[in-house]
Amino acid sequence: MKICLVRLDERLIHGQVAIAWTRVTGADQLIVISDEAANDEMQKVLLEMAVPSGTKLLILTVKEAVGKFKQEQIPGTKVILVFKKPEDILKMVQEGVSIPVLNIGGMYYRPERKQYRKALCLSEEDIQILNKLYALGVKLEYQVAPMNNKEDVLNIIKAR
Amino acid sequence: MILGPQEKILTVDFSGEEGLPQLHEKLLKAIVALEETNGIIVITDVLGGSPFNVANLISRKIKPVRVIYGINLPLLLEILLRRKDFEMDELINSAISSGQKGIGTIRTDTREGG
Repeated sequence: MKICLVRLDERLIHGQVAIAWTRVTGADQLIVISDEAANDEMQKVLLEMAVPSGTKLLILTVKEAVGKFKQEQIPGTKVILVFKKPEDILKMVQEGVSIPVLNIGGMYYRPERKQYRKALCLSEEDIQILNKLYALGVKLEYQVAPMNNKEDVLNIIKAR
Repeated sequence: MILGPQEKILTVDFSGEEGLPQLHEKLLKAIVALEETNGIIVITDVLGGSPFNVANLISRKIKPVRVIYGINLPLLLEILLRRKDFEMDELINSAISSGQKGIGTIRTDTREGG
């Protein structure tokens, strides 16, 4: 099992993830890690339908995901992890799950957030969490789609 | 351009800078604005894309709303031409069939000098 992409995206599985990233990485397994999605039957049905044929989907709570990592029970050979909330990624890393690079490509505008890029809107709280992730050794990259250039997220924030 | 002006058809724009809640709201507003109880078809681009995902959610909550993904012009024309004559399921099947028949390529061996 190889983790080929860890994505932070509030839209979870949509065109960029379902089509672009899945194709480019050749992933055969998508894993959505979100307590909210895992506990919502309607969202689960919608996510199932959004997955391309030939790719499997697993929807886990953060706790379940940590458990599966610890017991080395993550299915698939090439895996994409998709998160909705930065704090969920922090929990995983703090529990000892190794995430060397985090791809950020779907943080959308809300009143409490400042817009840095098209799909990079962050609140003060989001930035604090990203700083913690960086301190724990996670490289933070802003890249919406595979053909876009990568940018270092902390540099983008600092440039403001 | 092909058929001339049409009634009861709206387009919903999606910029890609918006999150799902904004798109959901825009699509719902458009559906309400149509004032149509017999049936509404939302046509989106790809299966699994955000417009599809939002339309899928709405169609599960609002019964007269149906969804077709993979829009192309033959599909859209079929709906606009037949929507007054066909029942909803018949219209959807016919539209999908037109859409599927409506794509192809010019085979090189049929071209002069090819």
